[in-house]
Amino acid sequence: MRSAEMAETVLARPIAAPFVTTERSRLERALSDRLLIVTGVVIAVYVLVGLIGPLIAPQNPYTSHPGFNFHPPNGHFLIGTDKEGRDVLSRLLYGARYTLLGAFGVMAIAALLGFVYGLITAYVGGWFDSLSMRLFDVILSFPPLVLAIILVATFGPGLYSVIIGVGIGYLPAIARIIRSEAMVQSKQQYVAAAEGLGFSPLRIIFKHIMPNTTSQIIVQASMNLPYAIIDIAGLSFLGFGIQPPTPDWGGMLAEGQRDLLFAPWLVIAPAAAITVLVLAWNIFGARLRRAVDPKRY
Amino acid sequence: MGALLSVEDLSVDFLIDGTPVPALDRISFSIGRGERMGLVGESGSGKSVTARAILGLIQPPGQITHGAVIFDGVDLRRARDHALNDIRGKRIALIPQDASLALNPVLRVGDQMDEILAYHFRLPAGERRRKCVEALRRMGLADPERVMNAYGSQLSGGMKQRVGIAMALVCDPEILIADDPTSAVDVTIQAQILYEFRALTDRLGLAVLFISHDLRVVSTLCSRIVVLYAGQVAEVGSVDDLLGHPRHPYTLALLKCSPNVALRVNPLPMVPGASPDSLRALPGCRFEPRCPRALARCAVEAPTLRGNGQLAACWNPLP
Amino acid sequence: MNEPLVDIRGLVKHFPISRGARIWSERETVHAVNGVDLAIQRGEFLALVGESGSGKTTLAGCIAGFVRPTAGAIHFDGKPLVEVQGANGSGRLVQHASQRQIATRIQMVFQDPSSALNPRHRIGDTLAEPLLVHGLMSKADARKRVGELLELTGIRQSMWGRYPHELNSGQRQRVVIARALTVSPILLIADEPVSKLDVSMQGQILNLLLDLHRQLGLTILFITHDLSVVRQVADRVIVMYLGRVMEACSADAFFSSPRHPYSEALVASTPRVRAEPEKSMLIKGEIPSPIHPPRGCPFATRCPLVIPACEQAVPPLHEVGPSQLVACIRR
Repeated sequence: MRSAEMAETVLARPIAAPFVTTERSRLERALSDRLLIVTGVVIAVYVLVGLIGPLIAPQNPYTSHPGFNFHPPNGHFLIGTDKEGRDVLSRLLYGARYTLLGAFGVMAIAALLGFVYGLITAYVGGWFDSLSMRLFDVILSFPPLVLAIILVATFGPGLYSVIIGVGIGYLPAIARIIRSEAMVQSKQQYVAAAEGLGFSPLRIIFKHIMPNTTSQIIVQASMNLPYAIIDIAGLSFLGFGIQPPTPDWGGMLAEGQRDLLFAPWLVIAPAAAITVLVLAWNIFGARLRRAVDPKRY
Repeated sequence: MGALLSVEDLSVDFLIDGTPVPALDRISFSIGRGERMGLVGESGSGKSVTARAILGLIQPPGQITHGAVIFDGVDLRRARDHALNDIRGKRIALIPQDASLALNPVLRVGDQMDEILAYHFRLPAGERRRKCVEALRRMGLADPERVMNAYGSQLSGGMKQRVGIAMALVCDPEILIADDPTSAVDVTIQAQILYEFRALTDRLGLAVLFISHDLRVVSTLCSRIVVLYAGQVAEVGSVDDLLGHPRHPYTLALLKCSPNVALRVNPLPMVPGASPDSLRALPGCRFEPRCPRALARCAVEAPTLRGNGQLAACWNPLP
Repeated sequence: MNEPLVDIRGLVKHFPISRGARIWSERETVHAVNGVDLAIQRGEFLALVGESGSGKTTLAGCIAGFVRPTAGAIHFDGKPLVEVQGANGSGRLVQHASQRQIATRIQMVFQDPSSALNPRHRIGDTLAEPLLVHGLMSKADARKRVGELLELTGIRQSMWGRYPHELNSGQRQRVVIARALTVSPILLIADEPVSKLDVSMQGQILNLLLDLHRQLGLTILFITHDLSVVRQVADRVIVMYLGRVMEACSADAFFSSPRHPYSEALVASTPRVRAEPEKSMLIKGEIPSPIHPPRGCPFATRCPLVIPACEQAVPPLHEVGPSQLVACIRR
């Protein structure tokens, strides 16, 4: 192949490459990003607390300490007490698991299922796609909490019903966005080439199109997490989700609002816990996108 | 008689991730009244940037860092906004590369053309309409009235391109900047349009800067050519000089690589490597890595345009 | 054994498009391919030439299995590939080979080097994948084969771990060709493979295709609108206009004396260095819409030789010289 070889070898001096060579694997790039590591650790800590919260809580979150209602933070009650005289710190630690389970549960349903559904329906097209879009229209026409309430009423109150309800509420929007992105990718010539090589639709969807949509799904999963937490809190507040006295950050936030002026710690504590988690989650998502996309480095 | 448009030592940088990337590096050429000049370059040569720089359309992150664009004695770079608006679109007009993008899909062609005239001149509506119809007719559109009433999306590709050119002509400009106006149309239509364009610009005595990647098109339409490579002028001169005896190795390469329908060449010539598509401020000649005539000097010292009438930026030009 | 490698008979492809609301939509059809008989001989380098609306890309799509024909049949290597049985309009499409089976015989190289490679896959993985998916060899052997393909297409071995955006368009196009070669096809369809490349890089790809043609005996169907490129590579030329074949002949015959008026116009319109086209050879008018193709000869609306008879019926392809076919009643 002399002629084509010539094109490569007869260069007096190699031309400066515009991009840094990506010889490191994605894992290597990820591990070298400090912010990614830091936020990753923060999320891991949250998960840990979710798992062992009850073991490290100083008090029983359900025990009322009469006479100590609305007590500001002190040596005994590190973040003070609520209106029932219960230790806020312990409630926070116990409640982590419910909040995390709720939020990530919703994301699992909405983002993961939405992702897979969006990918498949974009590639398959046809009547399946049309039917799916109409189904989504129906779901989206319900005000989000109303849908969750209806589903919860069917399945009975409790955390799992709420997770499913809210998750299904978020699913269509996410699936639609992934579907758009996947449809754009389906029109690219590399997909036509893969079809021309006789690859199966499953391979094309998951090995070829999916990697080009991970950027979007990370964005969607990051963006929707705080809303998931709030929506679950709202439902719990209305009595549909987590039933009191079970502690849950969203619920604590909702309850604490009424007494904000003279017991601000009741709001600050869960708010801070939620905020830090959401911040870490979003930054983690952004850095992850960067590490995973070969062009961004 | 001085030049109508003169580009002097023009440099344009783009800020990418904080570092300035030179898109144009001290380019110079001039166009006289009624003269058709071709600007030839491949991808990354900076030809579209040149067009935009002349029209003052460079937006951040790009900026003109050096040099001047002199039109009829006025330095466009230093001109006030109202002076620029009087020149741009009226005396210097742009023919865009893809006319279908320039035509507003929700406006009728007539309305869009009328708007241009209304902006630049105080003329009664009837007079404006007459001028629009005239411009369309000049571009070979057989039923200009119908085209005036049509929406952009209703016209075929060839017709849209003609409308694009007519829109540039409607204000009777002195110079046209044509940014590769025929690459988006089919070859039989391209041939028609180029033929008519040539006749029209001859008749009206219009100066043209014809930007293209196709040396062949430029060679029949224009009397002089500027060859750009990686943001620098490689060679400039008359068509006869440049193509009859090119001095810059890149010009020769372009000439040899342009496929000829009249002759089969085997093996086909090519230039190893590729045009740098992301530039650094390299010390030497940008063509050096690919140049068959490169000297040691070429890698360290950037050549300047030298010559008599036919100028080439090369330390080892062809004899 | 003079049997053609690809035998296309009476191929028709109509794309339905509906305008307006579903309820009372006007069903219009794009007559992309409007009755084509064409044969591709084994081992030849055939150029398929046409402007927009000619149907050349759709025709290629039918051969490669991307597009299902509305009528007609395509035979490959003596065996039927796809055919529409039954009367016009009510035909039943019979697919004789799966896309996977077609893949190992016919491969297509596309126009746009920037979207033809998956941006998230490394070059080495892109090239190894077809080898592994088709079960052609083990991972270790595939690695070796990828090395061979890189060498064959003139790409440095070190590019193996790179991503497409790190290559220039000439290199990317070579990877695209290498990928097509992984499954050892007999026919390579190249759809405008150099149109999006700089002129100084076109030679790389064209020389590569010529080398592959000679060294591997690859049959190549080269689709383009640029006759000057055709002159450099083709053995035989077929000209299409508005879904029909206008002329089919050897490249030598074509360039020395094209017979169809459209062919003449195409040659005359092709830009040449410092050679202005003769005004008389340039044709006026626009290409008619493929939604409403003219009755009779599709070129009648622009032809300098048109007579009333041209608009009555579609001229059949008839022989005017040794293997030179023309669809024109005036020639």
